[in-house]
Amino acid sequence: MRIGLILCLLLGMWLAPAGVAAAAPPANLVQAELLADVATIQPGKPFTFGVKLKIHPGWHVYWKYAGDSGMPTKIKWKFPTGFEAGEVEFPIPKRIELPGGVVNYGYEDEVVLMTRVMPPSDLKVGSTADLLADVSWLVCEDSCIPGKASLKLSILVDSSAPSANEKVFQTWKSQLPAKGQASDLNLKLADDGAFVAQVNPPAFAKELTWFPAPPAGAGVEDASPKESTFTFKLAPPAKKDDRMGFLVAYTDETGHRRGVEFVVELPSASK
Amino acid sequence: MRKILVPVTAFATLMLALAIQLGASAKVGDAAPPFSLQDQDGKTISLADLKGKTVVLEWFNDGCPYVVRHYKEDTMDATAGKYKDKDVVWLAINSGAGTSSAGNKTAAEKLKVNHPILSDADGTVGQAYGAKKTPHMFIIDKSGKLAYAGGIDNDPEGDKGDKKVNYVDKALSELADGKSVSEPQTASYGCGVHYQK
Repeated sequence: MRIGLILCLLLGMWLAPAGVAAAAPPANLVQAELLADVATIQPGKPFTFGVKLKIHPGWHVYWKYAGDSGMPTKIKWKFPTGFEAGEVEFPIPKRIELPGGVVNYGYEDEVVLMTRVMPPSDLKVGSTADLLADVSWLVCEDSCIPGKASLKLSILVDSSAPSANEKVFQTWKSQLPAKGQASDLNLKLADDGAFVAQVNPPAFAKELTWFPAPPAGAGVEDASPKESTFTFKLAPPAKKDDRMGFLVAYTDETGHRRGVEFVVELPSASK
Repeated sequence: MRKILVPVTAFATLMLALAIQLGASAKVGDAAPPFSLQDQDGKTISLADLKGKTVVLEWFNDGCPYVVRHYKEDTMDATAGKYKDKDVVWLAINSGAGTSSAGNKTAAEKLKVNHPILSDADGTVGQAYGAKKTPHMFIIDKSGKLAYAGGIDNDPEGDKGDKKVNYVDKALSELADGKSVSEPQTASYGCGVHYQK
């Protein structure tokens, strides 16, 4: 009996993994860069400003809603007085499936997060505008590492705004979802408290993928996408007048990924 | 005794496995799924032995920055400490692939974890509870029902100051007063549980 016990212990020690001896993660997991789609800015003429994130292979950063784990990528724009900037526009993300049914929504390799900017019409031609962005992210592979960058792009104010970085912006603007009509997404509340969202995609749309954007402070649970139907629950439960976004991505007839984003009011049990 | 124990354990495991196969994880209000796991000192801790106590389960991964921050800020000890005379048992569970008592012992020493860390290497218990991230918190009430599932607090970045709400503290306080949990389901945040492939 005792010999057996000793043998078991020795075997256990030999078989026990030596802790997950992870190599130190590579430096520069995320490289952030500011880009504008114009070479110079013209007073009163809108342009697109972007943060390009280059992500180390195998790692990913997150969409505006991260999914079962992770943390959304955040950008705080800091523009000179008189500049108006819109919200951060997130291109269609990837659905990243991890073992055990953990689902993340995010980006691998590269992404450009954008915003539309309107410079004031009384900007002085010949001056320089300093456009700043504080970016924060969580980049994950097996481990997760938070990161941030404070970036500045100084851009000349001129009487014209010739385009710049055309290829990058053409690619990434095409990955911004189109705005869908709320009436084109059907959202019901089932008896068990689950929500059922349904769309009617055109026949040519293939590889439909659902990306839920729940109300602030809420998480999506028990997400179950099935083609054009998406069943899910919210924690905490929805409140009256809560609204929620759904990005439905698909592959079109030319093989390109496209997306439509719907914002709808959540049905409540009292109705 | 041994003759009976093996088939009973096997049956419980089978039922658990069946539940997981059906995609069902425990919901608030359900009977909390049973478990019997080894802590970092090799001691077996079973939910069945904790009947009549309030049990807090904390999904754990010492490599996750959110978990590390909470241990640096002493969140777990401070919260558990408030209820040490109220029959509350606080258990961490590691459902990461390759987790072991030895690995969890190292983690406990590194982060100064003052409660058991249970090894759930095949992820069965994590899946039974629907644990997706670390930290993911669950509270089992004295009657053995799942009374809370969600985040430790509402403060993923750790910057809410006095606007921070410690959901677990609030739930434990309500349960200690014989009340039901007012916010039984909240959003949680953290790194994904690294279930085995």
